[in-house]
Amino acid sequence: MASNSVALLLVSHSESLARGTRELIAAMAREVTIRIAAGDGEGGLGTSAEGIETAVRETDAEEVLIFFDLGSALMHAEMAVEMWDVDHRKLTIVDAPFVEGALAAAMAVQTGQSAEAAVQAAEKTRREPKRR
Amino acid sequence: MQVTEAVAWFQAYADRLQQEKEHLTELDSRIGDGDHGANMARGWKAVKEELESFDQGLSECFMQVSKTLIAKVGGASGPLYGTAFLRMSMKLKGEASVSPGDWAELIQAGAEGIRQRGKVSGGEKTMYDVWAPLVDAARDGADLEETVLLRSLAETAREKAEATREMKATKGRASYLGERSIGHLDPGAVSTALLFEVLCDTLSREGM
Repeated sequence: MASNSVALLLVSHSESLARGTRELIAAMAREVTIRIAAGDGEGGLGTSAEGIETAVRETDAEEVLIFFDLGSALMHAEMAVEMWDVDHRKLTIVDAPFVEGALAAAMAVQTGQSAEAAVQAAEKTRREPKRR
Repeated sequence: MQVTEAVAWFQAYADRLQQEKEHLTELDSRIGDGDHGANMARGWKAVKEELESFDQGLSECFMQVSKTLIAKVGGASGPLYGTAFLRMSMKLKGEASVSPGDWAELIQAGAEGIRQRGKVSGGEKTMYDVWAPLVDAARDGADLEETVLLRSLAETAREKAEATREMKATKGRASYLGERSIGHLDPGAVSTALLFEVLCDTLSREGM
């Protein structure tokens, strides 16, 4: 049974990339809330701290795990976490491969594991070769 | 530098970026994703508009710039410049003006923000390679007359931006190019050089 107190937020420069990643993950982690903050808001590539803040506010989860694609998405995520009071939600930026990491975390949440376990599952994907 | 001069500086920089938009974009398309010119021009245009009827203090002016850049500039330059202006705003709290002896600490606050936000340490072919040496240049020129000091800062900034040409990028998206990033200027270093050149030009103008 999925815990609905933990949600995922995918921060990407590309809206297509974020939507596609969500589609892929949602096929397995069907009950997990996955939000998107992607693109420059005008149909182009980019990320924005404001977009991240809005996406966080729209979830009712107590804890949000944030995944990002490239370095400047991380910078925007860090700004959003530092600068805005996002009520009393706990925000964790997860340093992990975007697709595999988010999928591993979503599956952990789907199977009722804690947010902490989900973060560990995501981080572990960096160390595991796909061909083994 | 009084608040009216700071406002004039930021507005002149916004105008300068409109002229340099293509050039910065061209630099960025060689080693990045080619959006630096458009992003900076758009963000600073918004800064200019918001400062049109500005009637608060120096610290608030820098804070306004910070907030606008964070909201409007996509890519890495939004958080980087946004953090620099945020830290400079905090340093200016309660101050009515910046005298020549204050510039080193002010620029250091900005540079420190960039260092932390970008997780850089210098020599990685980023805007920090301009910001960091400006702190020393400002310290060396602390006893100079304002326009002489600002001329020296503008020259140092341009020289250090040029020096990024020979560096290999090890941070940001240009780092994916590895050795092939050598031979190109870093766009963020160039937009930083422009910022300090416009500062010098603005405050050296007659009547300022």
